[in-house]
Amino acid sequence: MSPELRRYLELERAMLALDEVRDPRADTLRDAMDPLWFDLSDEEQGWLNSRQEVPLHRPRCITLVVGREFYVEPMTAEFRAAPGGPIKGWYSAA
Amino acid sequence: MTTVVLGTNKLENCEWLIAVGEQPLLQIELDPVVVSLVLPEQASLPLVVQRNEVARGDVRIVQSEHDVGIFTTEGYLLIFNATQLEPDHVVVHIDLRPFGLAIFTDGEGLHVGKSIIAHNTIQGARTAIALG
Repeated sequence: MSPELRRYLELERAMLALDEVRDPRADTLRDAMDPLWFDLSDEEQGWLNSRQEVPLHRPRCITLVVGREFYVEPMTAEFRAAPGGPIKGWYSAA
Repeated sequence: MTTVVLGTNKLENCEWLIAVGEQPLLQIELDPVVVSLVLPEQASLPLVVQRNEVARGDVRIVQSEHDVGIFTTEGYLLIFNATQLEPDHVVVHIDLRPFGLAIFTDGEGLHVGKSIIAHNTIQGARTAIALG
């Protein structure tokens, strides 16, 4: 992501957040976004125009509440991907 | 432009891919692939990777022009891989179970605890997936 696109998205999120609560300062931010638009590449402008309707103003798009099941005992060496020593006595290893 | 495929989810131009609480967990930049992976303190084992450098944790990073892999030093378990397939497109596999976090990707999606996050497209978010 280019720095220009990053700045544009930051302003857009802030603008939409203000817009949602009908804060008139959203228009100030919208005006500030205009010159940034012209700093974007054709590809970036195309991507912005092609976006579906998503809640961009929310800084987090998917929030999942995790409980104790998120913190588990570490997977131990019994699951190791490579053998600890040389393979011996096999007719065929694979 | 950055598109990250994370367990059947497509994350476009998102600054942080995963966060736990207020702490970012995973960030990826492209050209070349640069990874930051920071586990929360509640994890059983510590792991801090900042821009492809190990700051804390028993892991080894293997990287090439279009690929970054992170392995445990004990047992060589692959806990993270990012492969850049196109200039703006990277496919990510993650499995943090060796460090005590129930989070991993497979063909179904991104498994988090007992939940699966699958087939979503997230665009332009600061944090695409927030856990807390």
